[in-house]
Amino acid sequence: MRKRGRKRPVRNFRMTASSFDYDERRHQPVEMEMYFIINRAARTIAEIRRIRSELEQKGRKHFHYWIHKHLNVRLDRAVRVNFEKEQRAKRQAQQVYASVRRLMMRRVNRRWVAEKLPSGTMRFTKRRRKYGRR
Amino acid sequence: MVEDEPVPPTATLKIDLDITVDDSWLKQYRRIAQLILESFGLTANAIRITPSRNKGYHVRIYLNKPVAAETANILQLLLLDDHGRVDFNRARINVGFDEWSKLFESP
Repeated sequence: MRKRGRKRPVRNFRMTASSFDYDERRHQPVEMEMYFIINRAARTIAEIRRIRSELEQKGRKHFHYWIHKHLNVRLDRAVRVNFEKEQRAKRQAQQVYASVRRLMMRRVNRRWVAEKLPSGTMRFTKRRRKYGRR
Repeated sequence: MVEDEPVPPTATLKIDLDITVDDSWLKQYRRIAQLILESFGLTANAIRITPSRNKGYHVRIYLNKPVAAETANILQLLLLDDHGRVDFNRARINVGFDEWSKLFESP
C-alpha cells in the first residue's frame, strides 16, 4: 500500500502578462495586461518553479489567442511575464481554472489611461479523456 | 461596458527602489519614511526591505490603519517608488482595479 505523506500546501499563484503595441489609427502606444490567479498545491521551490513555468506557457498562449480573437491584434513584440510572491491560499483547494482579469493601457497626453476589458478564465489542467487508452 | 467599482483601502505600501545603496542609507530611508508617514497621520507597524531580482530593493511598509488607494499611491511616490510604476498604478486605481500595486519576485 502506498504510504500517504503530508498534504502539500495550496498556494496562490499570481502572474502578470503584458505586451506593447502601437495604435496606428489613434497614434497612441497601447499596453495590454492580463492578470492570472490560480490556487495550486506546491511545497518546495522546485514545485513552485514547475507550476510557474506551466502557467507561463499556458498564459502566453492564452494572451496571444485572446488578443487576436477579441481585439484583432497580432502581437509582434515579446510578451513579458512576471510573478508575485506566492501566498498560502485562504481555501486549501486546488483550482482547475485560472481567473484572468484584463486591462488595456493607452498613452494619452503623456499619461497612462486604463480601460477595463472583459475578465474570464483559462483552463490550467488538461481535460480527462473520456474514451481513451487505459 | 464594465462599471468601475471603488478600490478598497490598503494598509500595505509596496515600493520598488531601483538603486542599490549602503546599509547606512537604508537606515536613513527608514527614518525619513517614518517622518513622511507621520505627516499623513500614519505610523508604520513594520518596514521590510528585501533585495529585488535585478537591482535595488523591494520595500513593504505595513501601516497602522488602512488608507485610500490614491493616498497609498501618493505615499509610494514620495517614498521613491519607480515613477513609471506610480503612473501605471494611478491608471489602474482610476478604473477600480483592486490589485493595483504589484511587486514581482522570484520563488
